Amino acid sequence: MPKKEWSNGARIARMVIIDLVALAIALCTFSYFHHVRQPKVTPMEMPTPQVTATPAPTATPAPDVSVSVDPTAEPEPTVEPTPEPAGLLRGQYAEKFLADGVEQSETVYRSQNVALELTEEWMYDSLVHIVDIYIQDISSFRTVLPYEELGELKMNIADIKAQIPQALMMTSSDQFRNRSTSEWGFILRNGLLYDDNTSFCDICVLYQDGGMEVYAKGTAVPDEIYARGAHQIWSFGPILVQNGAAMSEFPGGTGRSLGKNPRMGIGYFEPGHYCLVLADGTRGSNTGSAGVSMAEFAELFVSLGCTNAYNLDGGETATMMFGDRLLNDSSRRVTDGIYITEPVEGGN
Amino acid sequence: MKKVFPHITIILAVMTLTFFVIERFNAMMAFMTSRLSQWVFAALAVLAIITSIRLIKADWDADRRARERQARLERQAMRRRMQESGEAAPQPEAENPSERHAEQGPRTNGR
Repeated sequence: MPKKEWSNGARIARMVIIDLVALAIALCTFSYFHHVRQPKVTPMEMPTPQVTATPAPTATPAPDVSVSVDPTAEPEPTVEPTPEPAGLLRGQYAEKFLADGVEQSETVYRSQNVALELTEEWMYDSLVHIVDIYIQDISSFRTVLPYEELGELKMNIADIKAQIPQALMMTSSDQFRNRSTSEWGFILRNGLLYDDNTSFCDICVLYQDGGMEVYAKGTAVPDEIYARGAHQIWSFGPILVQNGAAMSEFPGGTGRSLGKNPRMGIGYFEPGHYCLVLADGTRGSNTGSAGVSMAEFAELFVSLGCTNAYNLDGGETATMMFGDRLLNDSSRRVTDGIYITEPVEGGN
Repeated sequence: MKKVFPHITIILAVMTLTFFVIERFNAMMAFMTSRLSQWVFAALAVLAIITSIRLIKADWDADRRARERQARLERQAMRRRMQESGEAAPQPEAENPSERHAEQGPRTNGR
């Protein structure tokens, strides 16, 4: 039987099809090793800092109103100095907390050490969920890594919270595992260091003393951060607000990422007082929200009075639970989360 | 193997373009900056050099064969003209293998 002669066109078509199939296989293989296959990691040893810690900002102690001066009374003998109130807030916002017991509702949680207040407002054509957080102990501000702690790389936030019943509220975080394993950034969770690359993106550091600082890409000095004592470090960004002023530029963002999207952000007022903000958008929400742009998100945190604010992973990743209530419809599974809980014994 | 190199080069080039486009939409995935991506770019560079060198050599060989063919045609035309004019055909020169080799160039396998 004579060998079939392929026409030129058929030969070219066959070659193109084979190349396309090889390209698809190459891309799938690359993706698997690039960001799908995430290794479990053990925390790195924290390097010994080479610098001394910088003085930490402290909340201004609340004025002591229990002593009144009577000009007609005889001078009293020397009074012993009143001890400073304990806790990150140093006696401030005492009205937010309860002396005893717990108050819990759909929008409020109050106890001796933690106070959470959820408000939902329409801003920038979007439903914005704002949780005002007051904590006396930094160990109340925690993060969870499902892969290391719960055995699954990605989980729905509701499933994570079900396994951490002590969480009073929970949100998505920076999804650092949803990117190349060689580009995580500067990652520190509950006092444990996982990666120390400061040049990948802007970072946000929550310190053991309750302070929260934001650092532009490549400007953070790891030794200074270690010396002061970091509790959590996130890598996503960009920085939204720094020293009370909204950023005018958001390096690293593209047109689409700077436009209207669902967004998650963290804000800082003073040690012990923070906020977590979820802005609904067209994805992961059925509220008809348009989403907020990066500039609008920065303005929002300034309007709340934040000193510093930092953008976390948005889009379909952005999700928040308050109590047992899921506040938006995002079905995306997350690789890490932020939650608030009563103080943990032993700190971290 | 040599026939596969250009195809691999095309595949790596299209992968690079894909990373470039994705990076515009989502820089956090680090498709252009990760270590694995850099290995792809390095492999693309190496294969591009190899295929380019092979292409340059193929062009040189084609040019040389074209020149030899042209010279051979000119010699044949000259002999025909001399025969038609009745002149005695010149005695063919004693062949010098080294001269013949220099004229023809190194042997190829036709590739």
